[in-house]
Amino acid sequence: MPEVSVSGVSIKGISAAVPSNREDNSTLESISERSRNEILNQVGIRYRHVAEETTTAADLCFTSAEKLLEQLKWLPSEIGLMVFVSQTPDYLVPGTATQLQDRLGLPTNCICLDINQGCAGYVYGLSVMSGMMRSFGIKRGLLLVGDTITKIISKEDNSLRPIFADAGTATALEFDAHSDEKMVFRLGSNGSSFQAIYTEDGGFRNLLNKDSLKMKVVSEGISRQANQLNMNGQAVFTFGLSTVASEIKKLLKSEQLTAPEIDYIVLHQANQLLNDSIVRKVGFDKSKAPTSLYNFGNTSCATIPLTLATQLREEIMNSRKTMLLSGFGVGLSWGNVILTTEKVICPKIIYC
Amino acid sequence: MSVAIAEFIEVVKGLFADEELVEASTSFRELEEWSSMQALILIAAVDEHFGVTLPEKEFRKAITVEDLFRLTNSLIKNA
Repeated sequence: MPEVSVSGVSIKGISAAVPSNREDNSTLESISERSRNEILNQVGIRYRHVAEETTTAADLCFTSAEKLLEQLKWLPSEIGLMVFVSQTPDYLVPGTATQLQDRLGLPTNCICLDINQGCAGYVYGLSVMSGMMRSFGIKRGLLLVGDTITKIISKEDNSLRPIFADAGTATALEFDAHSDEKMVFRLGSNGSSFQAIYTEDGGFRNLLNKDSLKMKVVSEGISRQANQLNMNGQAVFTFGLSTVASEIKKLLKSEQLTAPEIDYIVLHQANQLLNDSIVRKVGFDKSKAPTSLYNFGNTSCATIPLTLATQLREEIMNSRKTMLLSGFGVGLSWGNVILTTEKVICPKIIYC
Repeated sequence: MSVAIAEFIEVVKGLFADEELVEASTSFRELEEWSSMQALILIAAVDEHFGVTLPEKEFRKAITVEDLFRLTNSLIKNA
């Protein structure tokens, strides 16, 4: 699909919440000193906020949304659309957005829906929100993006445990028919590689069974159940280097923009080496690519809004910024968008 | 356009502390320094220096540095 452009919808606020419980990779005893150094220095992750058993992605998003509405001085009754993006919903049935409608006190005629997306989920969410708001004439909407992905990661998986963490975010969007602001998207998927990041059992293709729950040794230091997350890091890495970098270049070209005209490129936060490589390939200076990996790790769909709310908070609150946001991963899917923000309300990160 | 073996080996050597051990015939996965992270570093270095991304499945089949060199050159040729 070529570029798609939506005009009149812009981001008015972004907030993020993480669990207060924090793990430190530098003291993680289950991994070797060498692995620890690789994770700290190459992958770039030190701290990870990990949710308690009773805290869900919906809880973290709810907290973010409540704070954001309060600071924006928006009334819940003004929200006409709410999208919840997650791969860790509260229940398999029904979707989580309906319960968030009730918890946030949104009107019962507010359109509420779930999107099952991961690393590209923020950009997919922005595309659905902006497209629906523009075509339906909805003035105000909330995009809630979060995951407690650690709940589906084996504690005995030394390849994934030091990488993944939890977060929930809220983004407030407003439609103004007279505004010239636009978001330009390039979205895509390659489902032939869906097994690069997936949980084999526990859905409706492979129902949860007794065998699903057996801890199996995959290799030294890696044991997991069939209903826990499995990732082929090399496949994801080459996907990022080739497809994602090329898609970003195509988007810049279509908009006749070059790196100097973009204030920031905000990439999904999975691996610093990968992000440095992508940034170099698409011609950006590293200083334009903020990172939140060190403090927050890979929080799945939440990484981009979490990075905006923590690394660029002052900038997006006080000035006008043109940014390229790039989400990529599970699916395998990718979503890139160029947008401009101005005076975004951005509460301090919430630890809950 | 193609890459010379000497140039390719130089790049691979630069990724290992014990670079004396890296030759065309070296089975790089058997080096003590090899790890899954080292694989990503190698893929990123080939991409940076030679402009091609080693596909995951073909990369896994490569045993020696020379295999990687051949794979890189075939990708450059088909680019």
